[in-house]
Amino acid sequence: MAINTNIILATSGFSGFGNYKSVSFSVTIPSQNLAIFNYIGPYTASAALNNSNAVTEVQLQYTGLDSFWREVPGYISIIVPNAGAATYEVQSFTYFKNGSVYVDTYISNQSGSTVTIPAITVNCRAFLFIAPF
Amino acid sequence: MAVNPNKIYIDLPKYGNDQIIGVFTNTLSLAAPTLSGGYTSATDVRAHGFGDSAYFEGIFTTDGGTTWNTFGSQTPTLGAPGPTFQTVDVSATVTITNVNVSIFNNYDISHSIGNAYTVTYKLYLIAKNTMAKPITPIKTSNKLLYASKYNYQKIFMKGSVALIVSAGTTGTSTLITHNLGYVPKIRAYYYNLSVSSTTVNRFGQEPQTQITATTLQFYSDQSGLRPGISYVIDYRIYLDT
Repeated sequence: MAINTNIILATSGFSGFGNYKSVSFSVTIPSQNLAIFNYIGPYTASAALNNSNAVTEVQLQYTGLDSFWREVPGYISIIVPNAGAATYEVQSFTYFKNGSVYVDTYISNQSGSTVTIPAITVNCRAFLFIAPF
Repeated sequence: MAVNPNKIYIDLPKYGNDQIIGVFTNTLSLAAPTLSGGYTSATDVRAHGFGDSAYFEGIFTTDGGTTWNTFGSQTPTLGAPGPTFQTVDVSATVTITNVNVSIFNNYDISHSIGNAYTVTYKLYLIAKNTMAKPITPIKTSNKLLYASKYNYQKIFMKGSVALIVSAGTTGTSTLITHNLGYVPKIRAYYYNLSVSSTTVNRFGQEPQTQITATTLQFYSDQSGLRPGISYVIDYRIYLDT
């Protein structure tokens, strides 16, 4: 039996996700004082990445806070202990729109006094995966 | 070109792939919410027939398929007096019998707007690390499961860890060492033992992941008035950079 390889490339009972496209992008939030109950943002990191039919994954890193990379399943919130009892919250939202991927980051003062926010660079990686069906 | 099949050899892969065992899709219409109502919602419950739960990935569109977002994504309404998120929120769980998709269309209080939406979702069911019963994948019309032009994600490590954090505290899971030397892609799902030890939940705000070039760990902040959690987390670390 002859096989036309233009039709059949491989076969299997199951399939996973194919790596398709990826981008890296970032935004820097400058160091500043944040008054009681105030917030700053959005600080938007974005890159061209059109999601026309793909499963996605977005990871980010807050340099200036720590060295971890974190998954962003749409929304992420980090409560950051500061000197003494003062704290602030870092929130990031991710979405695709108009041919690009966006990560919007906000910082809000959760303490009873002014807090000093360090310079934070939000490094982002976004991936598209092809699903086979 | 004709090929002699007796001359074809298969190089079995060292690493496994995810195994997509079913796809569900549907389009649902949500009426515009009002200020007094706060939101409108729709639920889509679909039987999968596996006799066990499964991992899943979901995407949805609100613009007729031009742009898709992963479940949990929050497309904001920007502009004065401030941004509003969670206008359309799509989430799901998978039990041993059903796929449960929930869609909320929230009223935008900041901008005094409530919009009607038509939401189309696709949900991919993925075989778990261990399935309770043999799997018969849900039939699709797809002719080819693999296309060689794509590099399919390869599973470097997989396993389960507990994440138990008491009310008013923060905590982490056992540290998982992968030593890949780069920050890998991962997928993780959790079982909320206080609700069901079999229902699969996709990560949302909690718990969180902490990934380095050598390790993976899961973290939860239950400080303040948060009630505490008792989770089992299934994870997969992928080889691909």
